[in-house]
Amino acid sequence: MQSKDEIIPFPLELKRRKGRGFCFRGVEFVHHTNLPIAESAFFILSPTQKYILLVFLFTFLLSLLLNWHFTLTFLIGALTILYFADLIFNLYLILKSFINPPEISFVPKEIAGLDGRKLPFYTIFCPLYKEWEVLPQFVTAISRLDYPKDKLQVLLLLEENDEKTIKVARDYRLPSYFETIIVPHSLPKTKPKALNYGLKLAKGEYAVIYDAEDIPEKNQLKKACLAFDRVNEKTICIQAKLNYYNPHQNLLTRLFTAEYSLWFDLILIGLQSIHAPIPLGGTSNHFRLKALRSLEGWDPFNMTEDCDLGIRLAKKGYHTAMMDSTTFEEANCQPLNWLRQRSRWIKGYIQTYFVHMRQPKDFLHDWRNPDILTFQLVVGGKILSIFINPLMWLTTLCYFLFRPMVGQLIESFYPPAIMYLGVFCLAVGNFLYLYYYMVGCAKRGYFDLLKYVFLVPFYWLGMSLAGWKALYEIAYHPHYWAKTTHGFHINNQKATNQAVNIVGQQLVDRTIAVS
Amino acid sequence: MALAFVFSIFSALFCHLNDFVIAYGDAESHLNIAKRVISCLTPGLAQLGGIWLPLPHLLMVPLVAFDPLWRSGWAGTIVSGGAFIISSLIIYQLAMLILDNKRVALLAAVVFIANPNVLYLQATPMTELPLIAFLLLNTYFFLKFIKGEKEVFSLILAGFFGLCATLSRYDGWFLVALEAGLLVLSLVKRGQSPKAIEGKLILFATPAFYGIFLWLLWNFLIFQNPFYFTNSIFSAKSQQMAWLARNELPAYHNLGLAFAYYLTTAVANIGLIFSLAAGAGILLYLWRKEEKYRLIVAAILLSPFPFYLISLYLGQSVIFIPSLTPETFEWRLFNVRYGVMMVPASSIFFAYLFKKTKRLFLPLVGLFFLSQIFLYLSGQAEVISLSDGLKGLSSAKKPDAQNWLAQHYDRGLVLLDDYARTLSVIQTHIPMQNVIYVGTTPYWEDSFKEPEKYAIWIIMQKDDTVWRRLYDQPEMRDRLYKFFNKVYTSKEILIFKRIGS
Repeated sequence: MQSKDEIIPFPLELKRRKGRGFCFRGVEFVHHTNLPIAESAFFILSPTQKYILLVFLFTFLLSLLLNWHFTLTFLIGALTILYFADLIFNLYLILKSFINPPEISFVPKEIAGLDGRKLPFYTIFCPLYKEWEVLPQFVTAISRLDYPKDKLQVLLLLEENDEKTIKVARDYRLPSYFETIIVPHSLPKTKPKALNYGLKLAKGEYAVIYDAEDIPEKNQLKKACLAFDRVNEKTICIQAKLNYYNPHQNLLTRLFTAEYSLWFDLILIGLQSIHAPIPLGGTSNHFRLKALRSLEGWDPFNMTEDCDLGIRLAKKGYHTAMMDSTTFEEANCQPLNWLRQRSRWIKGYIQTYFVHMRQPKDFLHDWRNPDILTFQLVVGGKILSIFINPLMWLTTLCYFLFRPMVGQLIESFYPPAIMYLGVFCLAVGNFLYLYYYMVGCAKRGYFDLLKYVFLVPFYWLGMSLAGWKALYEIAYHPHYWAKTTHGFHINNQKATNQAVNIVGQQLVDRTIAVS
Repeated sequence: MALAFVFSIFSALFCHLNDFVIAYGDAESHLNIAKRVISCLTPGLAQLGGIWLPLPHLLMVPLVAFDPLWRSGWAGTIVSGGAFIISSLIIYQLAMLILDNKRVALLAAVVFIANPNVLYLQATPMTELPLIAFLLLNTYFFLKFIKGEKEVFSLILAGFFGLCATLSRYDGWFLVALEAGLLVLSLVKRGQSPKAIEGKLILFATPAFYGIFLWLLWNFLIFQNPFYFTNSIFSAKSQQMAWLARNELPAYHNLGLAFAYYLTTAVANIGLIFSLAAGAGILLYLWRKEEKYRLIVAAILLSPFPFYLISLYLGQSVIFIPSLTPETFEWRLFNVRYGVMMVPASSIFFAYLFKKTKRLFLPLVGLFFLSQIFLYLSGQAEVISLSDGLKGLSSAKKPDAQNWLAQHYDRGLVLLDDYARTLSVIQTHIPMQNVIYVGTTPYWEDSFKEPEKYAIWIIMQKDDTVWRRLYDQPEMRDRLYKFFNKVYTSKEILIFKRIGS
């Protein structure tokens, strides 16, 4: 007799009809992948993890009861040391990204020298959901790719219940290499589920994911082909850099652009330089399709399926390389939309962390590469700092504003060594974290954005707010994909003009995308 | 680098064997500040104070944790010596960047390494060599940026080393301000857009000026006055006003004299022969239009000169040097080590003279070196920074009371006005954690109400704070004698010991 909490895989007949999936508590989930549940974020915590967390919580509460002062002192000390480690690690990554940038770069002659007849077949996945407004821009961008069109397969992955987008797509005279794929409605309703569906239909030797609002550099596919030729077979993913074509739309887009410049132009480059697992970007990850299939595609229950895949492939002994090519996207310009997006990302990072900490020994396939440590700092540390930062800032503020009342109490939690480390993190660490944004902008050539970086602490506060929202969601709506609305730049002439300046051409070519 | 290392070690050993390392009173003060951060009645970062900039002391902290390194001064020697070696290497790189000639760049480095004033100061805990190292690193990367090499990274590093310089000595503040201005001018000349200029200025200035911001904040948080370092009674300005009151601040509001004083000091540190040659080198360099960035290069390398000119003019600092200071002054040798800041620039401009010489290179260089050595050996030139430490106003006092206390101190807390430098904590072998001084509140303040509460020993010098608050106050003097015996008497110094201790 099966318990109601058991995962019941689809029988063969149902699998044939609907695709791969399972039933759980009477609900059908069609995920189109063979990824084991143990490697998926369907359950946030494994039973062992629940047990460990409970034990930890119990120990913590008991310790608080027995000696609350010592417990808090210990906790603050541990967090301070973690902060310090993260600070030094990020500094190391930034320096490495400058001193010995490992990203794969190309000279024009190499690209021009490619024989189009010998280029491999390429599949482009583009999941769209309620994004009919950006469809013309996407079609234009893909059509402008400098790649033989007879070697391209563009799969527009549309959700069955997204009638408007389906109608618009069908009414377009799409180029012949575009295919409109209707993903049958099922749970989970997520981008990675749609990608898994598309994966079954992909024919390319290589594949890449682009979002609907993406505008990749024209020669990105050719660069990816060259990059795959240069690296060894173990490198199955080439990640292009992401940035925005509407950085100047408003303050939020400016700060978002600064963040992306830091992440893609510095941090990920630094991670590659130390052969660490790279949390992939949401788009512009180019894969060897065969290897992608062997990894069972994406986790349909993970809100950051890209980050998850980047870690998973590293655990299996594969590598990701960065290449010097950029895809431009639309930066979120609306605060609530941004908050929704950011809380989804943080939710995904939390999921990714717990999924990959179920079997930490899987990180130890190569004892020379301490991937588990970098994973703790890059993913775990990032999550923790989002929640801890506001508390630390609040403590610091209270210390200085209300020193006569609470000064001594706060000082009592900081033994001398931790006090100095804490002061160092406060004075030097916060400064460096802010300055890194400036460095990212400068490396990208966005010198006009530097002055806005002084407002980044408010952006951090927004991230913390999104973090708490993510915690709530992970408890109550773990698999809910909060869709980010795109296309705000379309009706904003200033933003469109700026985007045209950055991309170098009109965003929509009406001769290509004709409805 | 090997040459610098060898010279550094030999000089350090020579200075230690001859007891020159802690010749300066300031030398012990720097060591003690670092020591107090970790070993004091009230240890902590607040012991860094608010007058001298903190970075050289912070660099010494891990070393002064070992008592022998503190008391011998080796903690300071290691930091300054390390800075000297780095400086030597960077002078070579900087000279290569400017002169584009290996032979001549090497000459610049050798001239720097062989300078006796530099060699002396690099063996001491004084702050000149750390500052020189940061100034040179900053200048090197700044010029790399100006020349268009690895632009963003060079500018960031220039900013970072500018930050280090601003936290080492106030000369660094002038330098980063000057560089910010030069950066804008250079980018305007290159025709860059206002937004690019603004962004690059922010990229440089944010780290470069962050140290200044931190120092003002520190002064505010610790002393409730962001300008405590310049306004307090312990500041250089206050000390200089005492000189002014005695009419012994010759360069105050006198640009001509300020210029003369600093020029003379610089020449004394560089050496007359090398100074004349370097002067010719500067003029030749500025005259040669084919030297593309000559104005910027010269402005940055020579920046210590206007800094000290302004500083002397405003009365923020004072220099006494025998060739200029009237004989009626009580002291005629003081702070002459400030001139050592011109040695790096002079080394490079001296070497510039030889850029186009080939066959005569070695003979000419040899001639200059021999001439300068002759001046030293014949007594017509002296290692002036060492002289100041041995016989100038900068020299540490060695009163007889110090020797007495070194022999008689057994245990217990010692009340002492360390700011007045009554006597040396290092030489008297008093553990630092046993000293009650102005930075150990509440021990300090309590001791002037109940001197017997903490101290076993009380040491006072005529008119220092302890003297004025205990000995000059009849009530307190009575209390003093009630609980303490006077165990040492001299014209200037009295030492008391607790009865029954």
